[in-house]
Amino acid sequence: MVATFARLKLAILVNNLRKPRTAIPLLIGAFLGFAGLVPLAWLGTAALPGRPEWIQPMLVCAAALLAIGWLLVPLVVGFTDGTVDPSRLAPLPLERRELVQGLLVSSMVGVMPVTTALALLSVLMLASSITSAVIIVASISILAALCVLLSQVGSALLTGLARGRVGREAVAGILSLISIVVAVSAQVAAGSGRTLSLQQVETAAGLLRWTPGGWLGWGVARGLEGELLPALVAPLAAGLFTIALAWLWGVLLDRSLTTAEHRRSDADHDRSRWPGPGVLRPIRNAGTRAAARRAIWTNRRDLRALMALAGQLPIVIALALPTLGALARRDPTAVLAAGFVGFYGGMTNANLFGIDGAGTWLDLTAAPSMRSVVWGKTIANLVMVGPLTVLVAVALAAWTGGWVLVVPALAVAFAAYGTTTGLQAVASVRLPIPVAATPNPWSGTSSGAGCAAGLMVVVVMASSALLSLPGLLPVLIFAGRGDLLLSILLTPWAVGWGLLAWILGVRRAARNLDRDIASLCTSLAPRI
Amino acid sequence: MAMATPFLPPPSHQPAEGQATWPPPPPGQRVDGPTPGPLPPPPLPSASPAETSVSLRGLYKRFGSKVAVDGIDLDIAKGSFFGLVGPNGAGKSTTLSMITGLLRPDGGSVAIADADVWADPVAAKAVIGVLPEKLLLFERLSGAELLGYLGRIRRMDPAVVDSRAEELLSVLGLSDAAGTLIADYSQGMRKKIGLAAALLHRPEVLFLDEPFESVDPVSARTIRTVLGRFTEAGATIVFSSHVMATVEDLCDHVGVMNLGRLIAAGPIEDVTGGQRLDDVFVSLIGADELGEGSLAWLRRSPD
Repeated sequence: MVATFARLKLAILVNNLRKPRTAIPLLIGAFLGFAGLVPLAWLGTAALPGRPEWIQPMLVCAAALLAIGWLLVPLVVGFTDGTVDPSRLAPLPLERRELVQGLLVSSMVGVMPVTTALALLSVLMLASSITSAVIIVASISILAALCVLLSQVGSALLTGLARGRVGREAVAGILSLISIVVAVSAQVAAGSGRTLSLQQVETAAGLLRWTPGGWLGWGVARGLEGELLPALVAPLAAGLFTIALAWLWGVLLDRSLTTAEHRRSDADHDRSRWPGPGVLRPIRNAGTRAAARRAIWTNRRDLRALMALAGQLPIVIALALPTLGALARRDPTAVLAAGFVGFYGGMTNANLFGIDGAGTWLDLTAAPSMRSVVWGKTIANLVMVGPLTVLVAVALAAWTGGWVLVVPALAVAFAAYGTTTGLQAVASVRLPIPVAATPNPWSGTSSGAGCAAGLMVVVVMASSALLSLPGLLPVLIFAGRGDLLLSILLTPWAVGWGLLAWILGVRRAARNLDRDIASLCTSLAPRI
Repeated sequence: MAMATPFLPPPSHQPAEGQATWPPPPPGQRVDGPTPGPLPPPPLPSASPAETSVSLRGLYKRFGSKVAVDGIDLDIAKGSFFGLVGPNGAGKSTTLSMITGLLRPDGGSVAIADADVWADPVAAKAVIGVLPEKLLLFERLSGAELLGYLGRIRRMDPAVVDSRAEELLSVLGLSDAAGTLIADYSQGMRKKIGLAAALLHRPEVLFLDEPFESVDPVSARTIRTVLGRFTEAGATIVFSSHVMATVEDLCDHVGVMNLGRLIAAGPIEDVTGGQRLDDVFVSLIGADELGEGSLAWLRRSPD
């Protein structure tokens, strides 16, 4: 049975390549994103025998962080592997155990699991005997299963919690918080990485040793030192934990496959209130208003959309961290950090059509023009992020006393929003990434989608930052020099720059859509 | 084909409020309980449990404040072709989903071929074939691949799977599209490959939710022939539809649902009492007549 599942996954992956327009970039993106892990692991492990005191803490940290990464990254990026979607197997007479085993094995067929396995195999270099090699192989196998299960169980658990609207928003909030912690930790780690001492690694290992991934790293390290008992007990404990996770996954699958969420009727939909109609009142185009309204409705109720919003947060926060110093000094120029919120708002326009999936055609064919749809969707995010930007600017001004810089800060935020939005609009049309329409909002439609999405976020973010510089710099430079009047006078320039980039991006995206809607719809149709 | 007494009453069956009443109320009037009338109620003969293929007891499902299925009791005899009809939102699909183990009921029980669907779903799913309304298929497999993998996951002999798949694809007119990805299939082709997947393991009971929706007339005729042969072999078919003509043409038994309740069920001739099914359906459900002044703006003014 497990072999059938593995072959099924392979067949789907191979068939995916029949549509090269999106599949090939996804595959390349996935390899680009993760291939670096393999040489890094092999080079790092090769250096360990010369420094035996590093072996145990490094193995503990690496194994634990790998497992934690598999748990958190798919939740933040928004993709777990859902290529073999269990909901398609619901009518079949499969025991829960068979379903879990099959899905587990099929989840191990793909770019990310293979890359992880290749990286893990580097530990074999440390083996000095057949016994230690056996311990390493067993631990690697358990760790690989543990990683895949953590990823799947994490998303399945949150899917269960997010059935109601309050649950959805709570889950989005919790994940945003986790994202912030991860971003700050990564920043701190990167900052201290240059002077990483053995003591620091040992301290981290002392904490991480208590996680299931850490048990495995610790067990392997003790086995390499010739201590058989801990080398056997650690993988045994991790194995039992993995079995318990598999059991939990089975229970969650069972529940999710036989529980339907009450679909709100159209009448309920119409009655539902959405924030800020007054903000869009000046927009006369009914199609734009309709698209914006629908996008806001989706953003507030669809966990996949909420997760897309949360997923951009850690990177933007990481970028904004250097301004903490100014904030601590109560430097009035810290108010300009509100610009990062605008940047975040622009980033949330990534993959504008991904969540609509096969329903995109309805939006596009019913709309009076392609431009109105793109405008509507991008305005919707401005409506959501705009008040947050103002709030942050005012809060920063209240803290630092830099009230005079509130207007320049908002102009900077708008410039960042407009530039990033323009780029995201074009990227959304040119390289859409389908988001699976399954009960699990983290489920990716094909292996590699998550890696590609993450890579695209980084590329577009870097490009947007560069493109927005001409609009931002004049305001920022003069504000930094203390020439506040000039800085304020230059705000129309920043706003104009952002607006121009936004308009050009929307026009370009709409033109692409006018030429070839079919390609976008085909790319986004459920393809599992 | 169908048995003489396929609608089997549950033991000590007492119609629930608004359930299985006869005769139908006048148009526009809700069913509130059994009402005496000029026609006798459909016969509710007794039968041994061995003749029952599908048995529902007090099946109940609520979504938030909305009761989707309100305590349905029903027995469907082996070899019958049972049509479940009702207006949109009546609870047909919800009922079928609960019967086939795809949606957990809030109350009641379902037994198929002596297997309790919710206590032993694997045993029940082994003897049924399902063509759900929302057809979820592996879009990135070809039609032939899909049947091959589904058969293997059902632990069928690969040689049998391949030969049956080939024959099903041929009969359903999908031979030319056997190597095409399902993502590129039309809606009608998707229905047909879904039907092939449901028939592949020769189930004892076949559940079809709106099987003729989006299917062209030629394909519809093919599907009818296939289903006819299937029931001739003694299998049971339960299908839902809101197309009365199809139900009248195909089924020997019918159940009418409205607002989550089964308001009539039995041999089709007993339920219709010699009238057309759609007339009976309208009188059972109660339909608001379109007033003379409604939608007046649709009429073109004579220029």
